[in-house]
Amino acid sequence: MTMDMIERTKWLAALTAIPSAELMLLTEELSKGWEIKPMSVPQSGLGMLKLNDTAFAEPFYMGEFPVASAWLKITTPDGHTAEGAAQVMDDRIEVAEAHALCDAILSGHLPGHDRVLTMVEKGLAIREETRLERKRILAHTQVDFSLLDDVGDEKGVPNA
Amino acid sequence: MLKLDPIWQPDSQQKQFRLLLEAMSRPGECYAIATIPEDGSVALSVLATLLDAEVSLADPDDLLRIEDWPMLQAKPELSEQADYILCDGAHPPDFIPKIGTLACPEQSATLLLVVEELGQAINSQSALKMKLTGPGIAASSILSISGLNPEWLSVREDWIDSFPLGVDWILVDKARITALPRTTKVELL
Amino acid sequence: MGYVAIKGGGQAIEGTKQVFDYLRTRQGDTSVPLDTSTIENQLRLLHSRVISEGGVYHPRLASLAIKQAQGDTLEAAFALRAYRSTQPRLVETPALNTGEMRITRRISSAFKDIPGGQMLGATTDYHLRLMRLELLNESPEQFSEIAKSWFSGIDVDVIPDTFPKVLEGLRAEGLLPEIDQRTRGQVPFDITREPLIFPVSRSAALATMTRAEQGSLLAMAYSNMRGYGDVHPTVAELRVGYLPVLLPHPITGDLTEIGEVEVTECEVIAMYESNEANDKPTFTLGYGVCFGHNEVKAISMAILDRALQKGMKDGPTNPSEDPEFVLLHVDGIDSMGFCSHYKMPHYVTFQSDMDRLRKTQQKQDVKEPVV
Repeated sequence: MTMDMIERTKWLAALTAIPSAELMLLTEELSKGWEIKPMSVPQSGLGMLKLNDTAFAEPFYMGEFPVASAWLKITTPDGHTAEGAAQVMDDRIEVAEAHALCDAILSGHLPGHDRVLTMVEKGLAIREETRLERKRILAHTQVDFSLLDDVGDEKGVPNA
Repeated sequence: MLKLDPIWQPDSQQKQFRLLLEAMSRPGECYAIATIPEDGSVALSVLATLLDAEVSLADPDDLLRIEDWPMLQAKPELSEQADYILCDGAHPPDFIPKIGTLACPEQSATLLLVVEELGQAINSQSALKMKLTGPGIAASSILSISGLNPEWLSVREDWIDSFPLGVDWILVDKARITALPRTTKVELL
Repeated sequence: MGYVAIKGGGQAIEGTKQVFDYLRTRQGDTSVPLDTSTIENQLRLLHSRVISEGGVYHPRLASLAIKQAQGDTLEAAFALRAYRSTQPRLVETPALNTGEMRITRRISSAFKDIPGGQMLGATTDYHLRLMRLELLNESPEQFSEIAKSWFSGIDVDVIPDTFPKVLEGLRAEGLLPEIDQRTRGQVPFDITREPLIFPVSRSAALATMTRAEQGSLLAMAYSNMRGYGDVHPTVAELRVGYLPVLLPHPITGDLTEIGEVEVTECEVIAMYESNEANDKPTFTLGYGVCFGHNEVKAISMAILDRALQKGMKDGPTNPSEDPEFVLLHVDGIDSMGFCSHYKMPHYVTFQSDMDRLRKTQQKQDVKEPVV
């Protein structure tokens, strides 16, 4: 898969499937000697989840989740520059910084981007496996009403 | 690696905040800024301590650089509605800030005025010399400011006329700050 | 109420910390400390409950809270709430939609055939409530064999990727109340910032109930089901699954998935009623949702949502329809805290009660001298 095939909006979900310790080892290695300037203060705290109820489409606050954010500008010794940012569902700033670095490395084609791309592919495969696991749970417990139809007719839900 | 200017780090922000509390408690007293930023203005150091994503900031005189805004996280706002307003003291004021309501007098603006020099006595022809009285001041004190357009003092009178409504001021020069909360009476000498 | 400041209790209090931890750890030499992953996986539904009542989706800390509280759900939820109160609020998501949920369970009691089908998922609804004695001596080998073996040979192609909401079919037929477009841009009530001062909005009620203590919510809903109420609900749809959490990318602004949260969601259809004098009558609806896998909570919340809508509109005729009665008594931290405060010294208050009683008895003796 090439970078062009995976949208930027999908990188984070893929990379968060990788154990963060492993990811941080990679970003630490790749970023050695780089000048990294924060564009906003890296922080960790909470995000509030706003949800539309499905009865009346009224928004309400369902609850909070941990979030850490980082926005970085990178200059490599060769003079490459790139900006990367990430907000992750995690309480650790260093995890957000690692993901922001990946975002910069991938979007700016910085040295090491092929290794980060490999991580993205690995993460996508993990996410795919989770998706299949959930489908298996559904498939294994899907109700087959066809036998009931022999007994009598029951009106189903009108199609939307 | 990651270089974060000291003015964004929690321990120096705590020191700076303590200083601002002292300044607000002793109006007119000049305090040396706790942390001079490596990159950025002294005003930025004060704003870094006070602001976060929950408040709004107006910068009518364009004193901030573009890269300062994402660091401050404050929402950009018009002077008339902003929680915090950064002003060049040399320019005359041309807006009316939020002065709060009787039910919520705290919903008013805090002004950060950048001036040339602050002190008890300043060697400058154009320096404004004023006598201060009010809470936090033993009897009275003297404050001199250069680089402050005198119109600021007359509009301040209007703004603080209906206590508890009003605005609070922090003035900053190259190295020092002083505060004039709405309770301080200023008499131009 | 007078609280007496104590000097002598400091040592005793220190002692309680040690004694509490002693009880946690005296299992014996062969025992091992609980690890948080075990709690999250093997006590999954307890874990869901604590996340939901704590009000913050932090699986690792929810496990820790259960561990340190030795299984007390109220204390564990309290610890999680206390943690969240130390954290700054950084962002808010745009309004998310549960249509995006990655489903692991989906049923309807209102209809047999629903678009996408009914999938029971991991439910105990149909289990015989018999003790599984074979689990008493479960070996690590037997344990790991279960997860390994059941995946073989399941065809997933029959399962669609998305499932339309059952309610949308009813809405298309005009059987449900119209959606008021004005509510879309509304700023919801934030119960973490403002106290409930009645009357409150529905968004305040939903936010309060979603982190309510499960038993209280169930008891209130049950009272309504049994007749202290008129909801007569049918479950239109019950979903369990994972909702992607989206935030705009800080640089591009494009919505990016930053993680997912497990949620349980339920809509109930209740008795139909006329909206205005000339409008067609429509079904009334109730909505429930919570973090984690907790169906009793979602169903109870949906029933109470409907009951409270009725109470807020027509005035309450039953306790479960009274917003003040429901919303002020379902929060676990509030209720357990107040209950527990009775254990604090009330010596001065009680002393004055004793004095008053003695005086009253004396007055009675004077009136009716003891023979």
